[in-house]
Amino acid sequence: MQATRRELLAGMAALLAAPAWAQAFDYSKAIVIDGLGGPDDPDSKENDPVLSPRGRAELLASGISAINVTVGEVGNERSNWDATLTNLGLFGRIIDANPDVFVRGTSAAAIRAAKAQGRIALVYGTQDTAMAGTDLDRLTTLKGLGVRIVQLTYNLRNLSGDGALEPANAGLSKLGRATIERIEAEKLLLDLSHGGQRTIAEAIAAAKRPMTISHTGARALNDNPRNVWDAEMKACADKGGVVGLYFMPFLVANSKPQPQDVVRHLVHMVNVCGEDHVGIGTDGGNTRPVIDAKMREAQAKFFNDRQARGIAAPGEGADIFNWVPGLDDPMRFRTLGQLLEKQGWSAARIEKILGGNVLRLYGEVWGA
Amino acid sequence: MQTTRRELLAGMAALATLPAVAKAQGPAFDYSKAIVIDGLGGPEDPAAGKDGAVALSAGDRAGLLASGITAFNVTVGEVGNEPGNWDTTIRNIGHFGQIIAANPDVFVPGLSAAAIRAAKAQGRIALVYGTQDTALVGTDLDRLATLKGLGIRIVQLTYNRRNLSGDGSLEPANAGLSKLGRATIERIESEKLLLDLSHGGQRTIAEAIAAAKRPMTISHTGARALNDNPRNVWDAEMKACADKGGVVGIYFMPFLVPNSKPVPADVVRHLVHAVNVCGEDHVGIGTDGGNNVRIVDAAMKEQMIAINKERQARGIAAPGEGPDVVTWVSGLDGPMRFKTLAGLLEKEGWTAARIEKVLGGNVLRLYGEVWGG
Repeated sequence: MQATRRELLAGMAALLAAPAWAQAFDYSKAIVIDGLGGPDDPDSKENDPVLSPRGRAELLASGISAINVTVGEVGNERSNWDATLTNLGLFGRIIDANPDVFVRGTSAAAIRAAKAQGRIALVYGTQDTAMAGTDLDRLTTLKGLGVRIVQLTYNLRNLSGDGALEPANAGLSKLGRATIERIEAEKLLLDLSHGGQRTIAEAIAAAKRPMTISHTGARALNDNPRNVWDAEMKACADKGGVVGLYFMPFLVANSKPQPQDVVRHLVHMVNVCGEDHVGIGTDGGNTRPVIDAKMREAQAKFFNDRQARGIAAPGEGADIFNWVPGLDDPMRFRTLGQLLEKQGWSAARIEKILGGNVLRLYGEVWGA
Repeated sequence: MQTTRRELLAGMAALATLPAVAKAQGPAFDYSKAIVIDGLGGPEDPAAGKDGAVALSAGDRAGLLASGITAFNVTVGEVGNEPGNWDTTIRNIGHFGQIIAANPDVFVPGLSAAAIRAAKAQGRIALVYGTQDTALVGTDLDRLATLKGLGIRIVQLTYNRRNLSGDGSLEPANAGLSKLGRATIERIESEKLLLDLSHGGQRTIAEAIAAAKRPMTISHTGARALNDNPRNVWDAEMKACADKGGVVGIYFMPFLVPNSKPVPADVVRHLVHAVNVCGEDHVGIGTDGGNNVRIVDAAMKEQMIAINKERQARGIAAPGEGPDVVTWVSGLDGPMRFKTLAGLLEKEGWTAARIEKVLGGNVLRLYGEVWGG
């Protein structure tokens, strides 16, 4: 999915009660990272980068220390480089306009400092390399503009490789290999989400540094092309990478996942990858969505647009909402932490999954 | 001048000996306490001669840390009407971002007046991103919002030639502002960017100051009353800029004198004149140069000839530039040039307060007022 979906997000849902026998896990101490998501603000005013009082309060209450936000436009359209620069400018203005909430997430140290100051580091990422194409120097420029995460492909084919929805499952091109080399030389984090199975497998084999699949699910639990098979998850972990789980309809066959499905996927992923190589990338926003007529209309329009562009995955639909009820509000990471405690997970494991592993990966790959 | 001139910058030469200090009235000037800002200039570019290099050499690093300079307005924008200049500008911004990230003990992003004050406290140097043209924006004013978000804080309207917004200083028509120029200024102001009128034609500068609702700068220029060169600015425009709360910066450039060979006393003479015209709260420095001591050797001579040839070909060389004209002031050409200048101003009888203002205090005040932080 991509950043525009944050337009959809608003609402109310009951918080799950914390278990009475809660163990030593202390949410307030954890460094919580959304490995792919967005700081949405349903009450924001158009062309005003200043957060609304509600958006601000909910972000500060969330306990989240960093969010990988998508600044890159997806698709092979020629104008996507300029659109990416526009997005980068917009996020820069948002950070500058809310200095008590946001900081630039350009290093692991900046994320740790954000945690200490109760702020949120926005990490700039792309969800495609089509906007760089054969001009690999653009990756260097993006690094200098603050981008730290680069996703290779987005659902369709680009010149580097096939995305998750391409029937040919063609894998990496020569350019794809050169792109990965450049991503690694620039110490950018390679993200293989939205890739086709062969693209992911071949990219992991070609990579010399740890990578991420920031927002996906276990394909062994639901055979959807946006999910990833155990073999690729394991290969990513074996290279030191982190596989992030999303809160998306692709988790279950009927497109209506419950919080227990999120837990089920996480348990599976930890079994496959080990507890040091699993994280969260919700692919969602921070506020509670309300499903009203306006929301239904927006979702239908959003889905139709994605259908027309050929980027809607199986499981998406005009009436399918891209979040998990019960894990769809500012406290969703705390709620999940409680569910994982109930599952019998140690505090150390919960801390790793909620952000510790992703922070470790960021530090290793970015070198700071 | 523009960033390509950084190719020139390297070398070693004897620093001018510090003059014996005459006592001014009031407390003695303390260079170590002053916030020194080069309103248009640059650190040496690590990539000069080495493609893609971003880490400073040991020499450049030492020179920068020793200089006592707290902020530079560095030019990230490409000048001219060529269609590729937006892409080049983006690349330059990326390059400076890489330089800052690669030298975190030396540089910080100069996004706010507070960041510059923090840089002073930490002994670091804030790099403030600026453009020297709006041709790279043209009619697409939303690019100004994008540039703001990418960290740009200063936007110069025109560069020597005509662009769609106005005439630069070398255009004989002296045509002044266009309608687009007025809209561009409005957008610059609504984005809380600092408008820079350096390199503008006389009418462009006068009309832009009249149209502006917020303080502006003419970051690097000289007093045209002392030397009638089109890159310098007449008293009327200097005064108008000051009257709107702006700051006029004096450069260390050949345009200060008719023979193109200014000496440090000429810099002082222009500063004294600018303070007489504008008042001591509205004058600063924008050297238009780099940080290192300059030496004119065979390689430098060759580079000077090549750069001048290119600038002549593009029609952007001002009168006073030439293949054998150096674009700095001998004796004010090393890391300690601001300290040297302060010594000269003390000798001139300036108070410590006035010297602090002119070396950076006024520019910092302007940045804070215009950027709002």
